[in-house]
Amino acid sequence: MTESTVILPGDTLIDLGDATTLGPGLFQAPLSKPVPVKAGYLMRKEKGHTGSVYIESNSRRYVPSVKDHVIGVVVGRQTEGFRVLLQDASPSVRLGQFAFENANKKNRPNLPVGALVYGRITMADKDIEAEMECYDSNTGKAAGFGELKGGYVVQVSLAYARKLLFEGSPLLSAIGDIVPFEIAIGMNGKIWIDAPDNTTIFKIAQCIEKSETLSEHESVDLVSKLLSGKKTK
Amino acid sequence: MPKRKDISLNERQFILSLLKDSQRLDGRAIDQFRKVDLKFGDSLGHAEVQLGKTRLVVRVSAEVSKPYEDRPYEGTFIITTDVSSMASPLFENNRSSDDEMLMTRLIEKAIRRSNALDLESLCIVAGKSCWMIRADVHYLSYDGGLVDASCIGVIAALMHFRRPDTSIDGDQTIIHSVEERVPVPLSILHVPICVTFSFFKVDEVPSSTENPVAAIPGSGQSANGVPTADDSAILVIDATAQEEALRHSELTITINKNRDICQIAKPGGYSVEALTILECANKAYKIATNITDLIYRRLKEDESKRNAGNLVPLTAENER
Amino acid sequence: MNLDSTFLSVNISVSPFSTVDRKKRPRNDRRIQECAMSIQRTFQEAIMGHLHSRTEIVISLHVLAQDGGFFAACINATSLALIDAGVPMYDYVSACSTALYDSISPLLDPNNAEESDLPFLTVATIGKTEKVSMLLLESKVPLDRLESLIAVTISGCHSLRDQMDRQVRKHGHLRITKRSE
Repeated sequence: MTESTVILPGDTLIDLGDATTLGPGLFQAPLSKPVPVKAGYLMRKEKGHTGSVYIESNSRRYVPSVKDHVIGVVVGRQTEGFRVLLQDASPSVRLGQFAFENANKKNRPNLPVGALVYGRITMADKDIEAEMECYDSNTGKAAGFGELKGGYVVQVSLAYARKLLFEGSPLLSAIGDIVPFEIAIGMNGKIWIDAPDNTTIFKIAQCIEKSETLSEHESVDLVSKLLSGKKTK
Repeated sequence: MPKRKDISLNERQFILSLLKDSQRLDGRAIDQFRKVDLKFGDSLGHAEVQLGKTRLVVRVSAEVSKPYEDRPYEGTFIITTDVSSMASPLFENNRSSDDEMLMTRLIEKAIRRSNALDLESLCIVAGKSCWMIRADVHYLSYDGGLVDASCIGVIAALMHFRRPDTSIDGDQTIIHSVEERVPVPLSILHVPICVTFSFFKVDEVPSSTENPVAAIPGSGQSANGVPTADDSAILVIDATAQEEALRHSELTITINKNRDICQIAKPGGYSVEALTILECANKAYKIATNITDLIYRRLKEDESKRNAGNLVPLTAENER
Repeated sequence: MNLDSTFLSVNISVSPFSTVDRKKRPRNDRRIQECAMSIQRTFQEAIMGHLHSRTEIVISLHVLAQDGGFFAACINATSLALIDAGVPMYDYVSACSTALYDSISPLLDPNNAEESDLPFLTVATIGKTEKVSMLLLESKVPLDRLESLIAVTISGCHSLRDQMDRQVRKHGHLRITKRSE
């Protein structure tokens, strides 16, 4: 169950209850009440008797936080791993060379500079460099992470990427009804798309980029307009 | 640009293969200039240009100053172009990179050196006082084509600007306020427009075994007189930021409606067939004509808006 | 910075006594800086950079006297110096300038007086091709005259390439004979 109210930084929050976890946009100093530090919608999620509260707001700058799925570009290779850039002109994150499926001392991943990777943030402390991994460290399986080959990347706002990732959108299924395609959504606002041919990729990219400012049925209309005549099945 | 835009190999591959099929990400044709959106502000000499996602504001101002010693009969004209991180995080504040330096030089050559602004008309008393015209370009957002957009902005703002009228009474120079006398437009001799062409190699980075110079002799397919003879390069007009980061060389042509080329700059990079350059110059002429017409149209619209309440249009121009 | 290639850096210093009127030139003269950048970008394409990765080649140009063709001379000198230094290159880079006299006739390799009064253009080509690597025009030229200007300049570049080749071979020959003595 979710509910939402508009909130501004410094607003007083009505009692959240003790068992509430604080999410992004809220800050609590020791021995004081939590205060909002961002403007946006106050979102409350209740799961059984514990709940979580966070502020949903849109931005373009991505700050890594643990467990986020992200897409980045390899910008450097070092002895013990890679440097991955999640956003233009932002500090890069570390990607260990063993943080891949089946990677060991003899079998190291060989990614060129400029390669695109899909992974998950494992460490995101304020004062230390963030780290990411390209496999599920609990199971040792790739779990869909790894190098992304081919395709194209579009940059969208963070809230839109989150919406597509968590809530889904009729847009993606509408595209899927017409053409087969692959997609990976990063919380850093990067969306990777692959389809059988360039024109289709290009059109899907346009659909996704333009739908950010469209309502759901408008975006579905856009899909049928752009991709019509593309029906392969 | 201080920090190069980091573009993944996937994107690079994709954009280049689209270009090979003469397609572009924003749906434009490869030789299509983006739609120019030109607006004027409330004050005179304030122009706003939008070229796709590139946006900038130009503000022209005038003050009385002393002419240069070696040019006593001329006023002074300064263009400042400071790309800050306001436009894009790729630019650093207060530090200009080589590319920015080239850009500033280009705009200066296109407008100042080509004598678009008649400096002699800015003289008040020879050797003693003259008008100093300043054009400050502020970049609000960057998506390629900064030179082209700045050039449109500066020239449009200059044409929009009016300076206070002056008169001489004995030894004294009187500067009349706007209320007192109708301000005078600057004398613009021609309207230079910059068009930037980007070139992409078709076959990426030559392998070490083949000699690119030997592989592209001038006597190849190019010599048979076909206008688009250059099979070894893709020509793209008005590149976006992504395309700018990927291109192998660029060529900026400044031209006006009178078929005068004011400036051409191709600072090294990937070589281009001479015929292609001529072809570019002709394309630039067509684009420049369209943009010049657009500037005149917008100026006229602005003029009629300003004169809406007046019975007689206010003008300081002499009937000639 | 591309690690798979050679990095070129170009410095140009213009002596105060290089022109008739002695003038101290500021170090950060934009025109000179632009010239240095164009040289760097032109030669980046002409040298076989992949053979010397992670290497920097510093090119220092000292201009002792100026009488027209400043930019072209800088390029030709760089070309010869790189060959003498044994830097692998695809071909000679030769540059030449042409002025337009009376808005009609092209004037190859103008001197200082001609340059100051006439519009002129500088072109650099790599080897004997019709391909233009660098092109610079800073003053007004009618569009319809551009073709003949470029054509004359390119043929000038080709002739310069031949002259440079002759000199390089002569010089090489001289060195070999000296060594064998």
